[in-house]
Amino acid sequence: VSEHVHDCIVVGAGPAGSAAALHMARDGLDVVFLERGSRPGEKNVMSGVLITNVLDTLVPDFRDRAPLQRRISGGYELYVLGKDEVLRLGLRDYRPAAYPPPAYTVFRAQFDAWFAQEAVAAGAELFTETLVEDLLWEDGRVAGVRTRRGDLRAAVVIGADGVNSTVAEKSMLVAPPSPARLSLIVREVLDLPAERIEERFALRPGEGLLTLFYGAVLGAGGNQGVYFTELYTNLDSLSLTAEVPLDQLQACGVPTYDVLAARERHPFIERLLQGTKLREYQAHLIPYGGVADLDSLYGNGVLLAGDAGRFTTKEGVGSWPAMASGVAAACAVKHACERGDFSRTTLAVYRTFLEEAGLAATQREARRAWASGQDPLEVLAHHPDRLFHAARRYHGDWMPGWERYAHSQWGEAYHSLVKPLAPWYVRWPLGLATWFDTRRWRKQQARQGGETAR
Amino acid sequence: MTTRLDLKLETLAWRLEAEPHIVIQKELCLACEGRPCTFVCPAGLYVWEGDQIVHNCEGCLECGSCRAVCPQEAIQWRYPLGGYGVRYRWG
Repeated sequence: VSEHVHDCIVVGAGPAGSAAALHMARDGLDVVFLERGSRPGEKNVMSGVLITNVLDTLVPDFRDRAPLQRRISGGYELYVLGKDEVLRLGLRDYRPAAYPPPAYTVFRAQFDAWFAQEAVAAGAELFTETLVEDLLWEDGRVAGVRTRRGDLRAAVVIGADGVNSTVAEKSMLVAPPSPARLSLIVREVLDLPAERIEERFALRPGEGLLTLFYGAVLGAGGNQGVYFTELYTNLDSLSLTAEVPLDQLQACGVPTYDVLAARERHPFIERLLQGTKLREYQAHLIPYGGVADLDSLYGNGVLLAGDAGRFTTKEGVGSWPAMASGVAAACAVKHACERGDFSRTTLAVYRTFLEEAGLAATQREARRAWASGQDPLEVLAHHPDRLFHAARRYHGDWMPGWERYAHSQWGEAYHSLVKPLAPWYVRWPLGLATWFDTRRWRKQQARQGGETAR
Repeated sequence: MTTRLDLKLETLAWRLEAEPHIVIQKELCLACEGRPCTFVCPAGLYVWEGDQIVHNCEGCLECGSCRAVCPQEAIQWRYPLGGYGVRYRWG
């Protein structure tokens, strides 16, 4: 038990915690950061790609030093999954500076360990295998943390301890997240030799690809949930995920591991995964829908950053907002240290730094996207049968035997645009009109049959 | 499919803690309708057997989903102590 009072204790050595510790150590503050795993990254799961806009400002030469897997060059591939079919959309962008902030696939066990080491090299002190169980309070303000290895005291505590944040809970700054604001991800890392990855996905060495799949899953009770799947390329392995907001999972009732297993057996994904071998299975919970209220992220002697503060983009990306919020928290602590005042009023400068980093706008967007329900592709994924019907219609143009599905001009428009998207009260009258119109048109075609046989 | 999940969990390494980090107030489970924990847990650790929930702390992936979805708030959840629990090598 030490009576020494640090400038700041950072709880958690993930992207937010290490970014904060690194920034403060460079500013010459006395910083301790704590990790409950035996090394940073051990408890973390990367579900997506690391966008390096913030990392670039913190460690400009990270490309030479960080343990990165593959660079995700501009673009992505996107599929809507049907039972035995897929509909494809995508972009491959080979312009030299296609993506201003390049993204990389990484393993958090490697990357977080490296990133934390950067903070240690800058002068921050790291304690691993240290779980924070409670906060220490003094005159109504947070004065440190309680661990099994003893109490640690500091002027400010930054909670960067992930979505199940002990600091957030004990400081009572924010209410525990509701299932609608959480998303569960299960992931498999699958071994595949580098050359085969490059051949299979048309990549050059070091290049990577991000593939997204939207697929609806029908539960036993008749409720449908859209489970989102990502497939991305590591150096000599693939990562396959299944992700679903907890409220949808609850309503739909199909376990994530069953969906993941079904995705592996989907005829298209099965072909992409040919010859792979399971390396590791993982699960992780992430926040969803952005920070509800930026003013709930600071209290007397305490700040929340990263997943603990529930920072995400509207796409659900959490790693760069985590780093950015860590840096903003570090700036706020430095400001408070200069003033010698660690009250909520002074730490409110955190909000200003978040706004400067563009995070206030990002969170607004994330909240709006969450409140509006879902993204357009998710809407489409809810109606795969209609979507595939529309897709097959174009197929029918050149496949013999599909003429009987042909429609009038109006029918084409109805089946490809109105039917997949419009609500029932629009669909029904227009559908009826389409039926009559198509019947008229088919009769007319039959009359002209002799001359204009397709 | 369950066997597949068992095989998947075999790829993981744990350092097990003596005392359980998840404690369930099982009497509350009797009033529970949907029992979301039985299908939400990504390691399939919650099983309804006859008239009670059976739970195994070993094999926990520490995601926290069970606590978040429990409608009865019957799940007392904490992280395993420092250095214990699941160890992802390829997170």
